[in-house]
Amino acid sequence: MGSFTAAIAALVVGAGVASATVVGVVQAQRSAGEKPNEQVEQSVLDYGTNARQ
Amino acid sequence: MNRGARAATSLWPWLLAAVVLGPALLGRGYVLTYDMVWVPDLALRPDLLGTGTALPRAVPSDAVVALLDELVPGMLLQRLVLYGALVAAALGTRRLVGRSLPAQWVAMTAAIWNPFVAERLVIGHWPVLLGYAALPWLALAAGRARRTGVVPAALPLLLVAGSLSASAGLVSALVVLVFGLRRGGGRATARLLACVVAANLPWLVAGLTHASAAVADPDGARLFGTQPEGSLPAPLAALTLGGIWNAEVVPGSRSTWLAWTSLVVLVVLAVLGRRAFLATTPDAPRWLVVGGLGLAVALVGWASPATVGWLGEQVPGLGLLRDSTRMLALLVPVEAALLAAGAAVVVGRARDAQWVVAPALVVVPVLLLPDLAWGGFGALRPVSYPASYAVVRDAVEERASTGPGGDLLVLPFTAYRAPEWNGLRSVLDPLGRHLTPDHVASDVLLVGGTEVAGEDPRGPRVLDALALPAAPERAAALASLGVRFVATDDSVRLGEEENDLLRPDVPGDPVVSSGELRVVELARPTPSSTPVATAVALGAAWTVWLGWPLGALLLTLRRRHRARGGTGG
Repeated sequence: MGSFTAAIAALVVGAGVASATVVGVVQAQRSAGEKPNEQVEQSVLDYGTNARQ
Repeated sequence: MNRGARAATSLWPWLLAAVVLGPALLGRGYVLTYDMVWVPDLALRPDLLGTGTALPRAVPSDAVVALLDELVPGMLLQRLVLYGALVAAALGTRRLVGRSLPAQWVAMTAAIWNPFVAERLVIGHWPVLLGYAALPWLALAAGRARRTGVVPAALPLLLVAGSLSASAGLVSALVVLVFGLRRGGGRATARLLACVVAANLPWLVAGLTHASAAVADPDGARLFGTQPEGSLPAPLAALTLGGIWNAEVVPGSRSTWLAWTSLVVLVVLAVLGRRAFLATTPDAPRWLVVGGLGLAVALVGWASPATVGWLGEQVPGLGLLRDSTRMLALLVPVEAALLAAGAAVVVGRARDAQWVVAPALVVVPVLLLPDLAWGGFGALRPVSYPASYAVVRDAVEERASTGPGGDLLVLPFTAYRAPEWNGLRSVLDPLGRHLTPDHVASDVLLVGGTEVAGEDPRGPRVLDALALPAAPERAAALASLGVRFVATDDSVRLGEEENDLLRPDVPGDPVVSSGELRVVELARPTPSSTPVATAVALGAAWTVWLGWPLGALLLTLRRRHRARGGTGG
């Protein structure tokens, strides 16, 4: 693979993964913020919860 | 490799582990999260050795901590264990990927920075992480034993470090047997088997002495089985090293399309690197076997929780498999080595662009799970115990030093708390571990409000005693169950009904009251005694557990000394 092409390909792939990271972090932070404050309702005695409970 | 590159390669895992643990290393206090409870000085009590009525879930890890914190303060010991586990995992995985520098860097990064480590750190399964860290080293040592017929001196010690809990012991044993056994192995095989058994004796014997109680609630398999993460179905979550049952410890990024991206990256690099993996990883086919087994167990837990539940109900001890994603520890080194091999192939093809491509590949695991950074974005920050804990400990220790024997009961009688001083993070009740007497603990687990029955036969009897209508009757009933001290933690906020059930008033002689903690002593407790046969069996188990690796080490040193003396060196 020519070095110029490889460098471009690497930059494109890297930018793609970095973008996915930024979007993912923003999405994760948003969904955490949207959760209602469950500290009052949730039992303080729970060991944890399943994803679909 | 020039000196600078060698130094940087050696330093990388130390730096990466520090970025992962972040505040857990720097702040003052203890990281208290779910099952990870460290205290300033864990007393070495009989129940830590397996004599209690509860299942020996923390045998031998608690006893080891109780011994080591006599030498190293608990706060420092926790940091050393967590940091050491991550660094050891990375350095061990580095040895699986040959001489390619990019491969070594990618392998080390993937060994530390992955969903399995993230989830087990936050849920506090540090013995599982130690077991995971030992796996590459165990595989290499067992492989050497298979080829040379000589068991390396380090192998028994590695097995002990990697077998501090039953599930970690199972995983370590599997790796040693798969990598170490050979047809017609004779004495070497026998020695390997003996090492495996010796390293796991404490929990094995303690478990056998509790066999009648060691049947698990079948509902537990459904609740603790492999789970989906975001839109990623459970099988793919497991394939990408996640899928833990507790959604509260899953990094938020696993619910985004980063998780799907990580799957694509894994598949692409694994396909590209498959030949290089087979060529450079020692005993690569055996790694595929153990990795496949780990994934298979995790998938059985998802596909047929009824089967796992039935097995746990029928066969004492098999309830161990209900948290099936623990077995993914076997898959992590395989995937790290595959990723590394694929990265090496990509870097090789990039030629003059290697200076861009190689670093990009090294940071890919980090970019795909960014919220593992800095203690999981703060999930692992340490806290200090309230001052009342030390006051209560001293008072109870002084009172317990005289008078009849007897156990401690902590109310509310539940396994977990979410103390305000711990940032409302769930944690196994720390008070019982903080104090010195043997501790009667509830092992009933609440998962999203659903109850999973415990195995300790004393638990239901304690609840029956607490349910008695008159306070003096409650005190007498608890005393007849061997309870001498009742510690009440009034900081736990409960509804009225829960309070009456789990934290009713129990009168007794006041021992101490400090902050929101108060302790009373009950009159005429009937201390429980350990059957002689159990005590003898456990004593023998612990003696062998301690003596075997030390004996192996001394023998090796003696052999080497003789060999040097024989050559005139």
